[in-house]
Amino acid sequence: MAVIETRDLRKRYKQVEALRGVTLKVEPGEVFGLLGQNGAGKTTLIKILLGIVKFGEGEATLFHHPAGTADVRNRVGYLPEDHRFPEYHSAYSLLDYYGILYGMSKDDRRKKIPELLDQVGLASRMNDKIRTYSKGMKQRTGIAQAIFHDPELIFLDEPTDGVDPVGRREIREIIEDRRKRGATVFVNSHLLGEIEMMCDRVAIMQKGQLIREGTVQELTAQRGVYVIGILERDRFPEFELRQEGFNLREIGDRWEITLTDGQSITPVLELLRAQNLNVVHMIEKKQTLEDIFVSMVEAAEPGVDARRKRRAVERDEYERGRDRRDRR
Amino acid sequence: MKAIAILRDSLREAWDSKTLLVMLVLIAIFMVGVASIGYNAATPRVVFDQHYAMMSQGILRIDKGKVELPLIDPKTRLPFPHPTYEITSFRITKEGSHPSLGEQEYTILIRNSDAEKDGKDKEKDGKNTEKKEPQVEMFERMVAAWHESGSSSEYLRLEEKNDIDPRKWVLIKPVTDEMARDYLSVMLERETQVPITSFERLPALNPNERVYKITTGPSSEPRVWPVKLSIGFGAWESPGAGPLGVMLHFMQDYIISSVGGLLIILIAVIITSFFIPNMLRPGSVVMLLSKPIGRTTLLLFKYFGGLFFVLILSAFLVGGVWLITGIRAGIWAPGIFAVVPLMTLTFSILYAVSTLAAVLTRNSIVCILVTLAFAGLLWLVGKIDVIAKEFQKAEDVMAELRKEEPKYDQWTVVIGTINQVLPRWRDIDVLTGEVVEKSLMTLKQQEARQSVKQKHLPTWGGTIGVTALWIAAMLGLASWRFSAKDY
Repeated sequence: MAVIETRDLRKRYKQVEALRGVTLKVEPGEVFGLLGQNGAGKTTLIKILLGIVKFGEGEATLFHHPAGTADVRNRVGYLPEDHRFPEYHSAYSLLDYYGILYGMSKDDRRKKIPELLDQVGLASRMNDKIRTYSKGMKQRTGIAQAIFHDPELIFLDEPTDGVDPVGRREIREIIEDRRKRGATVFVNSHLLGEIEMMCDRVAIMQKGQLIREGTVQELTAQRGVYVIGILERDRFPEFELRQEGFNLREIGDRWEITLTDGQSITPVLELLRAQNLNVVHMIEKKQTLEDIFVSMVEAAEPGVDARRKRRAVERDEYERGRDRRDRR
Repeated sequence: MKAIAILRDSLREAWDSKTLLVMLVLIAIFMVGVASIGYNAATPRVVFDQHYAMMSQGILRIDKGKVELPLIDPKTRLPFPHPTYEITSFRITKEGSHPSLGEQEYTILIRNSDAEKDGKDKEKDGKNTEKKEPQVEMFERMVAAWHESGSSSEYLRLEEKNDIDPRKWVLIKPVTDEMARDYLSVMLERETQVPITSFERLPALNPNERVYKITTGPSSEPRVWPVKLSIGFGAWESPGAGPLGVMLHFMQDYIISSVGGLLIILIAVIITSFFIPNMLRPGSVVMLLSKPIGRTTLLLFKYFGGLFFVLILSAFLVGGVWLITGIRAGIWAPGIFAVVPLMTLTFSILYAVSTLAAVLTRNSIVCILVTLAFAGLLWLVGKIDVIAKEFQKAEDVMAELRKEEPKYDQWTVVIGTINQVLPRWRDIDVLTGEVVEKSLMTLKQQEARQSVKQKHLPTWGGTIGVTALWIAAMLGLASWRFSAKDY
């Protein structure tokens, strides 16, 4: 039974189509990551699920109830991006106020608030006004208020934004802890590394559409790309390998070989050995979530990554030049 | 519970910004000023001199004083001839434990106000074709007008329907000493609650004058005995005296309710104009909207939070003033507590406007400007309505004298209608004054004031009903917009 389910969800802001038929399912206990560029529609999707934004067409349910109702929100925690707390509160009084809105008892609030603020590292400052907090402390307060009432579903929009590396690890641990307790976590983030570490499943959103969805393993699965380098004086058997049906690309003084279905790297190695060529470099090219994200975004919207590519080519050229100088 | 939490949150916001504290301190300073006011009972001679000085003003009183009008010539803007009163001898026949509880005997000389001037003018221009009015005629006509009531003329009639000149009135019946006693007695009791125990007409030296010997007994209501105000813990004392109830009414209704209340309301408009726009800031509103609470509930209780702010301030002000005047003047009139809900009701009109502006614009400055502009409109309409009512009141008097139905000018009717359909800020103020007055004054004092007020007082139902409809409409519109908007 899906915790979050949307079907052909659409939203339009005047001339801008923010969501263009989003269909999504998030299962209980999952940590689900939603990736996308700025303006892709990630925050709009969360806001629709919480009833903060009204959707145009389609269906959206949380726990099989229409999304956005007060009853459903009682089971949900939310950390918005660029949140702003009333600065006349301390972390303690803020959680106390929100706790009342969630219908928590006074005893429950008194017991849980210090515990939770200790968990997020704010125990020593819990009675100070929020206006005196650093950005990281405000983010920790935001995390605390999102999980304070033990929600079954937690939406975190850029949860590690403004948090130092130690804090990020702590936040990952908190998310992991919540998952162990049975909560479902939905994370929006630009930090792909964070998503890769935290999430079971990931979806990529571009211009209001989900363009790819799967587990992190599925998305980052090897595509059979190898990079091989031989001594500079040797000739790389480009012609022979192309005749064998291998897909080659020269990258400086190295060659990238992309295997198609059914191909193996072994014939390539055997050919190099047969020609007594000295292999000085060989790696199986790894694919990160960032690679996937960028390639998917580029595929969905050609040209969007042109600047990044230009910079990559420039960097490659610089590195090749440096290698040559080093060898001389 | 959730609603109380939102109210508490609004108070926390006000308290944190120090505005609530500053306002409470300012009110406390104001209350020190109120505490510095003393109420010292005036001597009987001062009281009676002052009473007859007041009687000597050219005021026409019809139907036992239910209708009053200044006797002013509309052409010259000068007073018409009218009676004046002068105490020629005075003695206290029995001292009381309080100045109001003694017994007094005095003679009063009544004559015409401008007899000499009239005579000189007429001799000078040599065109004195009119018969010189006997001076007592003015007093007799005042007494006759006082006793005139009902639809038919019993004591006097106007020579010309639209001419108020008392010299042209025709006396139908003679005015007796009993009628004169009744007139003077009621007027004296209205101001001082002192009864006339004996009333005797004495021979006058001048045939145009009247002299009465009057004996008065102890006041039946010492608390209405006129007092002199001292300010700054006795540093300054007022030369004149006024009935204590009237003095306290002036302070409680005018200074506290009207001036103090207005200041609190205007300051509160500015302070509370930040509450809802702050809540609606992009990063804040999504946080609240993600909580399990309806948008309408959220907005309404944020609105009530603003009202709560004013409720606290007005309760502090009123409670403090009630306590202080109770101690200083010995009068514990509870009517002043009506100021608390009514001041909050007045503010609730303006805050509903502010709330609507906040939802539409999310801008505090716009909220303040729109609200103050609306307040200005209500104030202006109220003021023009007061002027219109004065015109209507004058017409009422003329109609009373003509024994006809009053005919009001079109513009007075139009402005009255506009005032009726707008939120009744001024009417709330009038009704507040009524409640305070009833609490502080005796029935006779109230009757005396009734004559100077407008003929038709606003009704509670109409005032609260129309105002509540406006508030409901504005809040309904704001809630609808807030509920429909994407954040």
